[in-house]
Amino acid sequence: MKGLLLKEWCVLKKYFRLTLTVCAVMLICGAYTGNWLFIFTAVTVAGSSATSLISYDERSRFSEYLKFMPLRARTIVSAKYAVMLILTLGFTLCGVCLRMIFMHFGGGGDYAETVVYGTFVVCAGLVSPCLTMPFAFFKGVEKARMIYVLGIAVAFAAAGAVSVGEPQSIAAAFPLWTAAAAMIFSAVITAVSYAASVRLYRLNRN
Amino acid sequence: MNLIEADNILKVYDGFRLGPLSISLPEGCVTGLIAENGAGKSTLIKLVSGCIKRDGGECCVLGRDSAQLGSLKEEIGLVADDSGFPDPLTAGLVDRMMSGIFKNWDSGEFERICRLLDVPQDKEYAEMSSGNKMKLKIAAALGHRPRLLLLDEPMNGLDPAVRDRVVELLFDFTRDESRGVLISSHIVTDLERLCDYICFIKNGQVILHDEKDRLLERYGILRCLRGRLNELGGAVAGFRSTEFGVEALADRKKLPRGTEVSPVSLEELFVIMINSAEKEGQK
Repeated sequence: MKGLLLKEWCVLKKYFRLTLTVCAVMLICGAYTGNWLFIFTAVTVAGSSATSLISYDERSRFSEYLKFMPLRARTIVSAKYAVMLILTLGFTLCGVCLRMIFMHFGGGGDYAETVVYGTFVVCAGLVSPCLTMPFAFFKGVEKARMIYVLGIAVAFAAAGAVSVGEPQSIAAAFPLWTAAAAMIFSAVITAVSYAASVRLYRLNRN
Repeated sequence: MNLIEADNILKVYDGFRLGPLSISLPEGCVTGLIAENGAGKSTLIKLVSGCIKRDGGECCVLGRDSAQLGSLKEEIGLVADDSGFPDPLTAGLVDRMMSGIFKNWDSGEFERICRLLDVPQDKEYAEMSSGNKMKLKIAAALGHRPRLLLLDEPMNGLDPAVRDRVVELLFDFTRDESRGVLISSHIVTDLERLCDYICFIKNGQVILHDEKDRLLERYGILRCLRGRLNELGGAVAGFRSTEFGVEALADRKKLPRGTEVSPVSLEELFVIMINSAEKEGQK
């Protein structure tokens, strides 16, 4: 998998530098202003880059070459999920840390609430790629595009629904234990998505 | 032991059927596949490599079913025309990537072959010409010191000097008697130099599979008038018209004694046989 991760890094560096830079800028703005929708958007776009990596494999026909390498389907799928998790968790962690730093120097805010929102962002940010990637591995990215759009819509709708109302009432509605629940949910959807991707990739390969 | 043993393998697509056909590759040998465009060479190589699922028959590669090669893929090198490396990778990055994938990857060997074939080191894959891309794929196929090479049109886009070096590389490769090469190419002169066995495929069927030297000894070109063909009967395997008469592909043993026959090249053998098979089909 080392070789595949090196390849993913090279493709990200070449084709996603601008996208990830914009995500980083959105992250900083969101952390500074306390606007979690900005942070959520940055995390979702960054995490969905993993799905786009599959399309670059198809475009370069490296996906054909992969069929022939001594790599298990699990390893090939794992490389993409590793990228997805690194980007989603990495951006979220940066967003949460930056928010806490800005809160520390600017005063105000609630650290516990920040952690809760951070876990919600991880959870919602994983929805789109977890929905899309099994289809992308099975039928290719073009055919999975509708699922991608649906996933983004669901994630943003959930984010919008959560953000309706006064900040104080949202903080009250989501105590700290909901962070744990969100992380468990994130782990479950990722595991289910991963298992489906491995199975569907094997079906497609044969 | 045969490195490849395919028995009545079959693959059916909409509008195309490959097989049932049987082919084998002994150790230490090179088998060349010659066929028209769309006859099934690439499909056959993909079936043997396990890249696609067969619809019938048996196929053993290195002693294992081709559908379950698993870790045996470490010992097989593949060059396919319709696959490639990711666009941003240079030769150096391909080296690093492959060393993280193949246990037997030999960076020294890969670099040596890249130098031999003049693969540009600092150019990204997307910026390379089609010839340089093919050279890189050949180097990558040999870099993990495989036992079996499956080469689908590896000479595409290569200049004559590089093709000569590739042929020499493949000669060196098969010096080890435990190795073998299955190669398809439209450049029949290269196959004539390189191959021990030749297999002609037409419309998904093998129409000829024999030792190259035996084929070239067995057949010859007989130049005569068309009327004479009827007299020769079963001695003629095919013919083509020329402005002076016909050039017939004749089995030397079946010709009357004293008949003058010219040596045949592999290309002439293929062209006449394929065209005759087409005319038979049209009847």
